[in-house]
Amino acid sequence: MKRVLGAALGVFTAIGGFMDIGDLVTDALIGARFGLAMVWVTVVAVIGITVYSEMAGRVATITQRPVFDLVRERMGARLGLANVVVSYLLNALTLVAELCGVALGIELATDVHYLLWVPLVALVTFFVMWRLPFKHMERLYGLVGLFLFVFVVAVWQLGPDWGAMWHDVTHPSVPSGEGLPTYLFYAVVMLGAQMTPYEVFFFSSGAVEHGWTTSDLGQARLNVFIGYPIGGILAIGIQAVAALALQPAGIQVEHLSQSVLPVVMAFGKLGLACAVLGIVAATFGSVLETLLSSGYTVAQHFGWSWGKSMAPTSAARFSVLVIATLIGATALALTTINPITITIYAVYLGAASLPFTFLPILIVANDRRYLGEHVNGRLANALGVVYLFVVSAAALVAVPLLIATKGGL
Amino acid sequence: MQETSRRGLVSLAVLILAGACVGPSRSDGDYRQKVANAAEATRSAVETARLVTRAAAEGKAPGRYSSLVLSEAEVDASSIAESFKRVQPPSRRIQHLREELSSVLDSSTSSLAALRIAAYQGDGERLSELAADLPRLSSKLARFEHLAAG
Repeated sequence: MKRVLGAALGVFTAIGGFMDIGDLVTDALIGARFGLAMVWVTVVAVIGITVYSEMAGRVATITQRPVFDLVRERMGARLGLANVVVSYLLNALTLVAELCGVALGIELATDVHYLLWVPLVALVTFFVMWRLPFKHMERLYGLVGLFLFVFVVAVWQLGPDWGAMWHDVTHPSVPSGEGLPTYLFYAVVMLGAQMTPYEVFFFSSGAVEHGWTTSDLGQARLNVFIGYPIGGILAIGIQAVAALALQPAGIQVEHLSQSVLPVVMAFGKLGLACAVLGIVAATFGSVLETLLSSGYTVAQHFGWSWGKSMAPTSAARFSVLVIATLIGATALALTTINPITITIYAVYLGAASLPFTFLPILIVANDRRYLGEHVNGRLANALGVVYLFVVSAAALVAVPLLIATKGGL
Repeated sequence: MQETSRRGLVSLAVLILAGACVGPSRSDGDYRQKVANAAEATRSAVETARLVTRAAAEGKAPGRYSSLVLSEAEVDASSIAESFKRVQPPSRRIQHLREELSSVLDSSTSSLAALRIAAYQGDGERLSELAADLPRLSSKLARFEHLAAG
């Protein structure tokens, strides 16, 4: 039991990263539009984020310093600052979407407009940030987020043709009526939704918050190797139920309420209750991850005291920044800006910025001055370089595809 | 150099915005594509309503959830109809497509509104009665998708 709970940081990070509002809608949208023809993207994303989180977690565990603290030291303040500015803005933008995501999840159960829930969600976030210890936070939201497995179980309940599903997964092709640019556009969207930079910031900083040392290296790896595949399985589950229930009807997913419709069809009210619980926990987890990551990146770059585990008076600048970010994001969410649109753009910009997150990690993870004998091995380096090319290629084609497909039309 | 980069950024922004807007149709083919897109998107709203009303009839979808789904479907359908009607057909040859599709879009929006009200009032019998019209609307919309492709 202790070992299972010990993997809570990884599960929490992965559920917050793989099951945020962007994923919940994107997975269903892609499943309804392309069937299972993009499962391979999720597999690619799971391996990629696992490789880089393992590196970031190892760096944090061995040095007891988060990876972006070392990036600044290793690569200089100017390059580090550009990375921090982009990362902070992306985190803050994603936070707006996630605040709305929690509210949209509550709206599913109450039919009370989500905007009325946004201030309440922000208030609860504030109390959780300051009153709930880090370990309890990750266990509570990580484990409740596992209710999302209702999507995976619903695949069985919907009675699929397993042979046909396996064929679709192993022989991905562009469905008739869809163009290759649109298919690639959504592949980039999905890659960006599932390989978010804040997952790496959060996991690396969380390792420091936990006070992990060299002896906890196994624990850090266990977190990564359990957490991300769980996130990937949930993502594939959502794509699969959407492919089974929504694609035959020609439904284009635009709302969270449509994402949970297959679960309602499979399990009725109990299924809806599980889905809502899982969605609220997962998106609330994403709120905490993006909010903390906003504070982590800036505080670590400027060398401020930081940490959720520290008293606000001991990390005053970090705390003020986190509160200001929360207030700003809440205000932006209340302008009635469309959260799904924000999510798609945040995801897309995230995909474009991934090389700038991954390259410094790869460099630091190969530096013997920091890691000694724990530097990257051949496999980690080979996978790291391959993924650097993959995310760089995605970043290069992101804007041309956005224009060519008019945003995926 | 800075001026060049700024111009580049402005051009890019204009390109993206132009791509995202609903512009006038320049040719019959372009208009037919818009007809197909509007019909397809509205059919998605109608089919969503069809699935949720079926789940409600089977006692699987609670009233509040059904009401929310139907309300979103209605807003989507209404917004598609408004956008579609704003586009002028480029020639008289395909003027009839505008009138025919507009009529189906209006019927779809009205049906979805009636369903939403029935769900809100918790009137399951009326909901099932009104839902019986959805397959017919869906088929009509599907025909427009195929017509436009041809």
